[in-house]
Amino acid sequence: MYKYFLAVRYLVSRPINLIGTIGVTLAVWALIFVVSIFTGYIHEMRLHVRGTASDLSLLFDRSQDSFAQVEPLLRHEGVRAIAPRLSWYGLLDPVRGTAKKRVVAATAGQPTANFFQVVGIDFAREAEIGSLRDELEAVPDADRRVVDGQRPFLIKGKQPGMLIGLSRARAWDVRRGDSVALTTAMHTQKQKTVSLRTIEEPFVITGAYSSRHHEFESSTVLLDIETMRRLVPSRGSHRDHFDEIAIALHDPTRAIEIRDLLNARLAKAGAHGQIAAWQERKPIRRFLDNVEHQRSLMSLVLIALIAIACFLVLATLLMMVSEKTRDIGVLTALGSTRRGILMIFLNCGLVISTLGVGLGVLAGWLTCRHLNDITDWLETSFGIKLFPSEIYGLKEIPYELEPRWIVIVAGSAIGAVLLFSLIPAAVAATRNPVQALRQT
Amino acid sequence: MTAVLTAVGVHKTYRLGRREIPVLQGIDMSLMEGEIAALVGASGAGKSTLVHVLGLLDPPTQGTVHYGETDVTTLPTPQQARLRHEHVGFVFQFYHLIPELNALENVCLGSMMTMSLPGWLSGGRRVKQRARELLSKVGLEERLRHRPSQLSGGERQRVAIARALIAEPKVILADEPTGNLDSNTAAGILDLIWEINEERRISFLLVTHNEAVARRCDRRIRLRDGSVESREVGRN
Ligand SMILES: Nc1ncnc2c1ncn2[C@@H]1O[C@H](COP(=O)(O)OP(=O)(O)OP(=O)(O)O)[C@@H](O)[C@H]1O
Ligand SMILES: [Mg+2]
Repeated sequence: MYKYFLAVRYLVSRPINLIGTIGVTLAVWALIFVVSIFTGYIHEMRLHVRGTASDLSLLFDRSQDSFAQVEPLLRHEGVRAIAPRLSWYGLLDPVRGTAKKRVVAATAGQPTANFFQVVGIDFAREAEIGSLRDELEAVPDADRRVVDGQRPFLIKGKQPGMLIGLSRARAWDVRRGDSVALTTAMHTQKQKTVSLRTIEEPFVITGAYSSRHHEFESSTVLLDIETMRRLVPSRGSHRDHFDEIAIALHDPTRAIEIRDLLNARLAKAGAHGQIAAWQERKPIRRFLDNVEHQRSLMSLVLIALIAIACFLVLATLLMMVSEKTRDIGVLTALGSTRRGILMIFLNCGLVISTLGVGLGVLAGWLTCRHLNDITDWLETSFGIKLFPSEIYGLKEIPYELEPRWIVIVAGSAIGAVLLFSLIPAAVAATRNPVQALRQT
Repeated sequence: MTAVLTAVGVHKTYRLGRREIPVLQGIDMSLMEGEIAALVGASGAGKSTLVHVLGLLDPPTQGTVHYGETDVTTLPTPQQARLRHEHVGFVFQFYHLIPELNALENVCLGSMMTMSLPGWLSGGRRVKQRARELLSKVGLEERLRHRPSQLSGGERQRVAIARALIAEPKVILADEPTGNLDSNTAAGILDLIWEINEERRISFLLVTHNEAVARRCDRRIRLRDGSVESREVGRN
């Protein structure tokens, strides 16, 4: 009983022990807060990537197979939806369209023509894969929202429709009904001669889509896949070519199993593509690996903070033990065992660490919850931008408080501090009580 | 009369580097139930050392210590700690109170040693009540919440005596309990010791440099060159 009683009394009468507690608090706070942002970022990226990349995706070399031929091979009870895609790249120039005056005013001398990924989609099928339908309806600007949520590319007149990212549409001040020019080029082969064919086509903006991802919105436009097939012709005789098939599953955790099954089927049928789970696709994977690597590096740096906090606790407790030498003699005289003496100082470590961890977790949780308020405030009052959205490509700073991570951080912080407290505790327990008593 | 504390052939040798310093060289003595014995001798004679050996704070180099009939020198240390708690109380020249605790808590501490946390939750009130009684016994009912730094030397020693009493020991080893006090205050402390001895039949081993105090005791044990020079029976 005296082990807890004395530990607490020793601590409260020595404000210097707050240093150790604050050290632990800071370390735990940083570990929770920083890693939660990383985790949130990774999570957000996955969500975003998944929104467009689906659970599985069949990657094809363009125009070798026809969608009608491949589709039956992909039927499976675990497959929820499939959608063909055909992508290319091009320069998009709004100044050469009808919105010229407005765009020139909005962009004020900055170059307007930009390099875009142009993705042809089958809207009816695509809407089943991800959240595109919602992304169209979520557009708050009435003059940038599509008119017909079921047929977003539909437009009167000859020019084909195009969906543009909301942030890009705003930056350019492009609205529904404006036309933009798409310029692109590709190699074509006739008999043995390869030639570069340039294409320039006007498109009408039929609306904007709003995604979670700034970067994606400002560099991707969507076309009807039929339009795209005309621009990027097939190499074979069929007209329903594609370069990717997005596959959504009922149960995403079965991705690997279904991928293997479908790949075997495709190989047997002599199709040319390979199915990859979304996280296996090279650029996505490299990107996510990269961020995750940064997260582990960061946690390593932050773990050093815990080590520093441990040394602080060690130093303050060692000081306390040498101050308390006489008490050690008295307690032994009163009938305390060496173990009891050890426990007093170990309990000091326990109190310091649980208090520090508790405060740290609370602080980490609060900062995460009010992160966007805090950064807004920093920006408006001091002009400091902690997380420029241009760099991170996100509109809000994401965070994700993983209970598992909090438990790991809390547990290891308490464990580490206790381990370090063992040193002063052992010093105290091995003090000779007689010598301690001889001190006046 | 039965002996509550006995030393048989106790030797204590300190080692300083390669040099051996023999402090106690064959001490035979015993303390009877209910008596107050004085332990006297020149400074450096080994009085404090003997007190520590008798209180199991320092193991003898040779020889045995008995509590009642039991040889306690060979017991494992946790058991020794338990016996030290139950059998002997200590009073020191420099009081040795815990500075962070008030008088009441310092006295309670003497009882907490063997109590578990649940034991304290259920029995703590009784312990506090007893501590309060003991503190009023030693005349400090008005000083319960005072820290040691807020008490005079004599008052601190009274708290230390109350702390030694709370575990109801058979023996109290008092190493110069008045060594740091003026004669009036010292007389008060000594009267208290005699009163407790009368009331509770607790034996005292009283280390002192004061011949008058030594004469007042039932018996005097005189240490010289590491052994007992003489045992003189007191007047009363
Ligand atoms: N740890 C130690 N190492 C070496 N010598 C020691 C040690 N502790 C005590 N001594 C020696 O033992 C001798 C006895 O010391 P002790 O404190 O028992 O004397 P004392 O009779 O209590 O004296 P005083 O009346 O001054 O309190 C002294 O000479 C002292 O120097
Ligand atoms: Mg002495």
